[in-house]
Amino acid sequence: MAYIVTCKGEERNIGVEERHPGLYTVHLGGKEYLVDYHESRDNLLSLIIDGKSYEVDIEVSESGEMYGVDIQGDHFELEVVEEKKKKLARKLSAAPSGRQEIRSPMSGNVCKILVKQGQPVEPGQVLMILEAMKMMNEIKATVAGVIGSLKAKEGVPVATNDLLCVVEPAE
Amino acid sequence: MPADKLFNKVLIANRGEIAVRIIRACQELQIPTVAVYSEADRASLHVRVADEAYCIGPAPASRSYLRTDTIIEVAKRSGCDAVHPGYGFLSETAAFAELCAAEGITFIGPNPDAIRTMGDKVAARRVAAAQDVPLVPGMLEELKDDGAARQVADTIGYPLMVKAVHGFGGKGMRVVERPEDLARLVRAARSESFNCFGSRAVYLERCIESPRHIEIQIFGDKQGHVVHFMERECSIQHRRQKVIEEAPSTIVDEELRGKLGEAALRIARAVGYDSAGTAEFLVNAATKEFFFLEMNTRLAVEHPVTEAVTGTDLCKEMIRAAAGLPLCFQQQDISFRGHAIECHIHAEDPDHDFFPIAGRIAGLRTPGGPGVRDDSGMYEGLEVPPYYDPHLAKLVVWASTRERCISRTRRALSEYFVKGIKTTIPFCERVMQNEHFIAGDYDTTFIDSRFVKEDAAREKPHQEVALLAVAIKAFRSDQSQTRKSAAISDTTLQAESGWKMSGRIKR
Repeated sequence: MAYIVTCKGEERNIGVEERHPGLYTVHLGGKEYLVDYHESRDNLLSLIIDGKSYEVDIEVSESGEMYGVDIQGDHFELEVVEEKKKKLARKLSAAPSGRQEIRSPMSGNVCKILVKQGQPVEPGQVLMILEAMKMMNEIKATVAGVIGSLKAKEGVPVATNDLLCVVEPAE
Repeated sequence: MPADKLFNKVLIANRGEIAVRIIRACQELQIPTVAVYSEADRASLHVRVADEAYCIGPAPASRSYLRTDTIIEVAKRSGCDAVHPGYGFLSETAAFAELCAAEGITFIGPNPDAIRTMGDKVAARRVAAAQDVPLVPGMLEELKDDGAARQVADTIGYPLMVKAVHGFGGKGMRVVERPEDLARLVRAARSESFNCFGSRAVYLERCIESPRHIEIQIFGDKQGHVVHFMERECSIQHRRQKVIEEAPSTIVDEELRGKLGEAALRIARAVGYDSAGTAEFLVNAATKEFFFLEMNTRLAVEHPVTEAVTGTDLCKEMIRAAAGLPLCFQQQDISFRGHAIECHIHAEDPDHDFFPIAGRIAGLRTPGGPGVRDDSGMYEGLEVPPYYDPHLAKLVVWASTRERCISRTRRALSEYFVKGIKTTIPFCERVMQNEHFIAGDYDTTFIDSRFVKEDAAREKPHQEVALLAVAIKAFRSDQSQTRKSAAISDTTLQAESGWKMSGRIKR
């Protein structure tokens, strides 16, 4: 099977073949790797590659396409899509929208909203303050755009993953 | 041992890892323990390890862990003759210590007057000034009139700090860089202070730029003896929260150690200090000038660093001192042996701005091996509630030299796995690999400024491995999906034929 893995905006083609359960041949960047794979417990992997042993901590998003990977203190965020699906998705949406939904990373209390609907925002700009675990946490925009809808209200508690606001791409 | 038991039973008015730490000390002293818990903490580890446990109210701390009346009532009902407050919550509330005394219950901590004086940061500054201990330049009284703030600020000079008079733990503080931000940041500090400590009082002091945060562990008994356990280096801070501590400090030599220790003892003696406490200082690494910052009148979060490097059990000594026993050590008995490092394991996502994370600990593997201590409130299956601070555990590592201690800490962190929620473990691993940390070249601004940049720019040698891992993981999940749908269509076929068969029998 062929996959397209996106890491920091860069796409890499990876081919995976199963030799037998637990042993895989992987093609990546013109090289062939023989990987001995053992999932010690859900999402905690032990890999042996060319005699080197690695412990890999993985987190998979609900959609099954976003992966958070931790190896010896290093953190990677990767998108994994099967090649065919990726091609199909490309055809369906020729232009990426750039619309960003800002969701609450955890349950807490929205104590201050610093933006108004229709206001242009810069990446890194603080949009609101969420009080959680006795700390004031800044919720920031990651892309430039305009505040589309503002769902959060000051003083109103939110749950994890609740929609706080939407940053629409600036025209 | 039971013949000279220090207390009949001790109530621990706290939760999480520190409650577990205190229960361990009591168990070793063969004192039965009583845990208290909020409705959100029924599943907390401290409830299970204590001999008795009582619910004291709903999740918000103001309705449970801060309810002095309920806690005293539980202590009396369960036959406790002492209360240990841990850190945070009621540990620095003089009124609670007085209430305990009035009810005939020993408060395991310093006398209420010492708590009150040192809990008022401005009063503490006046005590230090009277003892000729150098202070961070600033106010010796609270800021009463916001209109006058500008004038006071001009005398102190910018950048300056607005600080909560009754604050601790890095909360209720703001740095003011420019005069035009002063009014806004004074308001912000007042409001955070009110939320955290129930008081709006603030004062202004100069912001010492790029200092080292070095604190002295002090210890006193009820006979008037006070000793110090030398320093802890706590400059590795993120947003003014300590994340990694070590002892000894790389910048403290014997001369400075002596001066800091003497200064801390003068302050402690001035308030008749009679328990475990910490005198905090800011130190200029180049000139070795030091300034008294404040004193914490409780068992320090980072007390295990000192325990590891001096071979004492401060938590147990604190219980002995509260029972009226004299110190069993003198100043000359106390010396450093080797090096210790402590890493705070917080429920925060270090790769997303340290956002706090509540959730279920789906998997856990704790480190072991020589020189490793894990003070933790975690277990597999624990739901970390969103109501309290994000402390999960403290990893304390000891080795004979600093260099060996850093490698051992790296080794221990690589063994530590927490699944289900994000923790600061990967962040601590990266600090242990940072060349400036390894060289001992850092100050309180290091993490938020230099480290963040270096960390983002550093090479990630394991990217290939990450790519291989996710590709195989995705492949396996696709394979099992295919197999599952194949299995489903198989059973559907069988079921259909089953109906037909029974149909045939009926016929």
